[in-house]
Amino acid sequence: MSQEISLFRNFGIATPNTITFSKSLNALVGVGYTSMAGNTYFNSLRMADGILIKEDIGQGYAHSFLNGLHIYDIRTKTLICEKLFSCHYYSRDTAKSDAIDMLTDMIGKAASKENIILNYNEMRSKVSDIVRRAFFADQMQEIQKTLKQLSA
Amino acid sequence: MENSLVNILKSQPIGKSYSTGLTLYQSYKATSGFDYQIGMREASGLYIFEGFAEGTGCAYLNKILVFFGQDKQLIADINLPQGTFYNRETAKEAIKQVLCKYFYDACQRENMSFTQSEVEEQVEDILDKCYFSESRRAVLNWAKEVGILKA
Repeated sequence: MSQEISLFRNFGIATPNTITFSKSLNALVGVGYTSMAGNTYFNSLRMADGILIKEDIGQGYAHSFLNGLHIYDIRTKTLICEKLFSCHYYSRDTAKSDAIDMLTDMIGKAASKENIILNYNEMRSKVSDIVRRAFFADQMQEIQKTLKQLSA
Repeated sequence: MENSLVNILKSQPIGKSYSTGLTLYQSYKATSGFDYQIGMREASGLYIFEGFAEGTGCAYLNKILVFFGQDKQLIADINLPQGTFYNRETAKEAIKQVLCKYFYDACQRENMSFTQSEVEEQVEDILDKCYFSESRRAVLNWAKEVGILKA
């Protein structure tokens, strides 16, 4: 796990004792903070093919909420896009859909600024494949793959 | 924040905030667990200092100071309402509104004419480049690397 920790430390989001792997979430999970109201706030981290998706999750008594999504480019350690939510129930499917929308929107805008012509549907399909892997493929394998790519 | 700025303007950056894209100049971890930080962005002669507090799962934007030129003349001092979540779009819009308003006031005082839509468009372009150009560059390079876009 130490290599994975150093990967996230480069993003300023992990110290050795603050990150663990959650099988149920299929994601790396940071240390949570429980408020006086009893709600627990934590981050979960997923990656696939060079992007890292950070979910800001709030867990209440009856529901979990997705409060924010940040997507980073791992190689350059650059924040690509972010979105904040309010009263947005958390599920892996909705978080995945939100991430796909954010990425395709960002790619579309960036391509438009650079006068790059692209097939939107094809682009969205490829982005969907990658983001789906970040949410549903085995994250420990994805992390190992990313570390190999970074050290290559 | 203003007192810290006297020192910041003379000091070297201490790192980068990956969650905001800011170049960090000061950072303080409070006993509450929040990281209070001051970071800077630069665009077209504007130096934008943002004061924000980063916690677990959230970040709050507290204050924005906008300076101009090598002499770093203060143009705008923006206090955000308490509890404003950090979001680049929020910061950008706050600065755009204030800069445009100050520009209109200055032009009216000097009896200078201007086209409001043109001013807004140009300010929007400058701030958009400041906040999002690095992200757009990164996402296009990533898209080309993974085959989403043709290289």
